[in-house]
Amino acid sequence: MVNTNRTISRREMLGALGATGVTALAGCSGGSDDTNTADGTTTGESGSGSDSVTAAWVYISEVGDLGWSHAHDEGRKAVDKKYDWLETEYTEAVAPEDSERVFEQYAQGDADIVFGTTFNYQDPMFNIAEQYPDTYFEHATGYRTRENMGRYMGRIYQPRYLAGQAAGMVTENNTIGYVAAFPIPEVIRSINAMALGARSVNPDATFKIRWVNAWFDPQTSKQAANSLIDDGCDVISQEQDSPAPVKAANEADVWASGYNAPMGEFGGDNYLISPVWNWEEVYDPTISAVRDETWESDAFWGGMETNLPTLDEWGPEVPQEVKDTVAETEEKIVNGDLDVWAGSMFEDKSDEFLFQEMNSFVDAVDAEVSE
Amino acid sequence: MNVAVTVDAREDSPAWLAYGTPVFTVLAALAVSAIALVVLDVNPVAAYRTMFVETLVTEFGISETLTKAIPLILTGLAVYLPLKAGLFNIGAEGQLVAGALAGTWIGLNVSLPGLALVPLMFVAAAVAGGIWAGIPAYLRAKWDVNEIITSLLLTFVALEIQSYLLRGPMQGGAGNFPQSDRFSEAATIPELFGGVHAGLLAAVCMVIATYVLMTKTRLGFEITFVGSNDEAAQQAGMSKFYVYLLVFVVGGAFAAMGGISEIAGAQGRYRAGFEPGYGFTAIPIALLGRNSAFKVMLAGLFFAVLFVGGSSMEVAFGVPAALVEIIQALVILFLITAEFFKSYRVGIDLKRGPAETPAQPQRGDD
Repeated sequence: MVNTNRTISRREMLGALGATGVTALAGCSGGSDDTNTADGTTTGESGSGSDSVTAAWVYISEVGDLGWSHAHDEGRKAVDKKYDWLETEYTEAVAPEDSERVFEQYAQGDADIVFGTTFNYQDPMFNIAEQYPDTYFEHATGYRTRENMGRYMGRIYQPRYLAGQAAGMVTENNTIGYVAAFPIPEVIRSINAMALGARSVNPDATFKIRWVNAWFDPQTSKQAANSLIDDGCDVISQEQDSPAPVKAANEADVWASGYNAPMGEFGGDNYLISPVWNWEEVYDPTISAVRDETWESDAFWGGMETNLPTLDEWGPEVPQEVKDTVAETEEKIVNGDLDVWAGSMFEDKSDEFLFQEMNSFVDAVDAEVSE
Repeated sequence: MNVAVTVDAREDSPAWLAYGTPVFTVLAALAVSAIALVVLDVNPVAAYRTMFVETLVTEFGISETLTKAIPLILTGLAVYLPLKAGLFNIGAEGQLVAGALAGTWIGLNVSLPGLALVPLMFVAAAVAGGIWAGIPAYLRAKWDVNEIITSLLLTFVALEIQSYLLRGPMQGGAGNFPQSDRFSEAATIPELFGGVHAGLLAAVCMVIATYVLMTKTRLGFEITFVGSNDEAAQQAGMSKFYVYLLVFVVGGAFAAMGGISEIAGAQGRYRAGFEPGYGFTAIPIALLGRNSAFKVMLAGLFFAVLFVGGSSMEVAFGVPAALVEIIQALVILFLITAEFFKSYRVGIDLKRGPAETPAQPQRGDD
């Protein structure tokens, strides 16, 4: 399922292409849109298939959410900057109810590939992908695919486990709060991984959960964080698209671990560390494959070795001991020497189970998933 | 010099004003919004062309607009009808959710041919929406409890019930995601033409029914009477209790039909987080269309154009989502302000010299 070679080999190949063929490509790619290339060469048509690629992104929240959509948009900007043959477009704050229309508009337009970045876009994208077989679609976080629709996600539970270790080491009350979005497998998986990480260094660590029932709702998630702090939590963590819980923790002077994008600037002195995304690691090879006409529908679930899920920078006051422990564990995870689920009730479970069937909490979590 | 602003009620609006104001105000709102577009380096003419012209002339734009208008018209009626009786139904969103859940349950658990199943889903939705709206109506009619607050708060109750059901009894599909199973062919509202589902028929029928009710029947007269002066209506032997209950229950049923038609016609399955906000958009729709059910329909269509066209503009020009919302809000704001100018004459009096304002000396004489 996880094909890390795909990423690495394609990047290396591109590097080689860039080194050897940059002049040859420059003629066709730079000038493909406006035909008046400076030197007037027409050599561009030969060689690498379709010249320019147009890629479109559809986001659930505004890119200014400083979280999930922001991280995806950073990935978009990175590839947009890197390739001059690439044209990127995006639409933000698209409700799932409206996404089908937006996908269709991109497919009717000149988009070669459309990325949909929230779970509830799955069915709308699945429908539109059937109607537009010549357009490629990529859906983040879901499980449905077609010939022209792939899916992608990262094993964010690995950096979650590491953030859990850090939380487990700094908590004094042994009570860690978690502001969570929806009780779906993706969120439950992250909570479990963080709890296992905390327990691996602190056998007394327990987690309390507050459900916001929204990905992006700064007001409610701030209230949820405050309620956790009132309930005795001295570390606040989150699966929310905004940094509101980190801000709330900062105001209350407790430790905070964010999610999605670096959130240190909101956490003050008590900022811990956050699991974050480098979506460029997906977008770069995927879009390059579209250009090379080697794109295939697949199910990508990359771990920390791909650098897709990773950690941001440490907060200013984190003890060295914590940093050292986490660095040591991180190395084991990246090398494949440590499976986060080893020794837990999820040991030896299939990727399919982990991805879409995990529906119960480990012991360290003081909550239940409603059936 | 003294400047005074006078506001007088117009006895009747001149025809040019009645028909001209909506056009002028929309143009004025777009002119103001154009400033933001220019700042963002987008050509306003091209952007508005995409937003309005392309939405109204392409097949894609028309079918998307009609589909979007179905729930907007139905929830608009859900606010319009109580408004005629002097009540504010702020909770159409909750009634929409309650109805959509009930209709979805029938659609997933009853096996009948489509011709029977889809109408049954609508009936189930209407009953659930009617009950949901009946609670604030009864409280208002019987105990004079403010219906604005109760209907609004019941929306949140409906959303919590939705969360529970989609994570519990109604959860379906692969994985443990909070969503229902997909509808079978029979439970899906069939397509009417070019991608528009038959919920449009329901919306148009309800508009006609409401129009007939309000203009051709004794009951409609009673509703308007109670809405104009409930005490006089009671003196005349009309039942305020009955009218209040009726407008809310029927309104709730309208909103519910909007919900089930969106789920079974456009969405194909019920997903958690389905909070489209139609029930709240319905409030300006009903205010704009408050003179007739057909105007509610026009207002619903207009808002559908704003939504669909706004989203097209976002896709085509990459403008931020906030800008589209600003344009939509400005259009609404200007239109509602214009309603005021249609009903009132605003004059400015310029008076010279303080001697002409004897207000101060007079006060001492009292």
